[in-house]
Amino acid sequence: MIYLTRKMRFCAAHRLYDPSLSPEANRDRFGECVNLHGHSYTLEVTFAGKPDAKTGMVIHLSDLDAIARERVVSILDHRNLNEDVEVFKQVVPTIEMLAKFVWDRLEGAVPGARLHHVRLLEDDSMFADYYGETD
Amino acid sequence: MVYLTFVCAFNAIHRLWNTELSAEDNIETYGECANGHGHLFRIEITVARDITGENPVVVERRAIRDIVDSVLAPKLRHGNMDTAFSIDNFVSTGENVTRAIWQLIKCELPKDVALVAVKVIETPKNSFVYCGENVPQRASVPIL
Repeated sequence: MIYLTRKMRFCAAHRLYDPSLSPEANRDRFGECVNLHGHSYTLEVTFAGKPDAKTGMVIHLSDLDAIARERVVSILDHRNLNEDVEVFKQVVPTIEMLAKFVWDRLEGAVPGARLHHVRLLEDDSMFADYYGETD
Repeated sequence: MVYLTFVCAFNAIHRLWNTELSAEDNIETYGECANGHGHLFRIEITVARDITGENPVVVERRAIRDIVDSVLAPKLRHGNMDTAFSIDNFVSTGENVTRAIWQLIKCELPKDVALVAVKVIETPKNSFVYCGENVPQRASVPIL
């Protein structure tokens, strides 16, 4: 079994704000993150699989790039997450929920490889890891 | 169990080319990677040992340095990944290179030191980890 990690980047704006709470409660919970702001995110996705005997590859990296671009990056890159991405109209787009979003979009999407790990870095100081719920 | 990771790096050339395929099929399969090119391959070797006994180190540093210097370096330093491992019809994908390095160093380690993982970072965007065929639980492999 080989674990293959591919790294990609996207930039997006968001604010952490729960509409069911008062402005004061939001500021209390999320601090300055209630203001609309942006990040240059780095996404690392790890797939586990057996290399094909002939090609020596778990998956062709350009195929993986195309799947990730279609299913994740094109949806998030240069967007206002709170307004432009359907799920984040209801869900607060924290780094944690974004990591789970990436997992849900990529799990089962790559033929011949199992999604093992999603790491999403907001900046140099913080990142979230998600391995799915059953692992 | 304590885990210790050693890092080394080698500049090497490779191309992705399966000698059992036609030139057209190789270019179709591997694209621009079918051309000879190079990387600084960064290799991370993770070993582990139960250190509840008297010896306070997982492994003597010299033991790993010797493996890197005498086993890996002669094959990989400014080398050719396609031929370095002397494996017939070897396609030097990150996946295959990672497994080949595992095979090379596993038998060189002291008997009481477990090889946990080999990671090969081919570029800042791609990396590969191999933990052998008996895949351990993630909780026991910190790099996973």
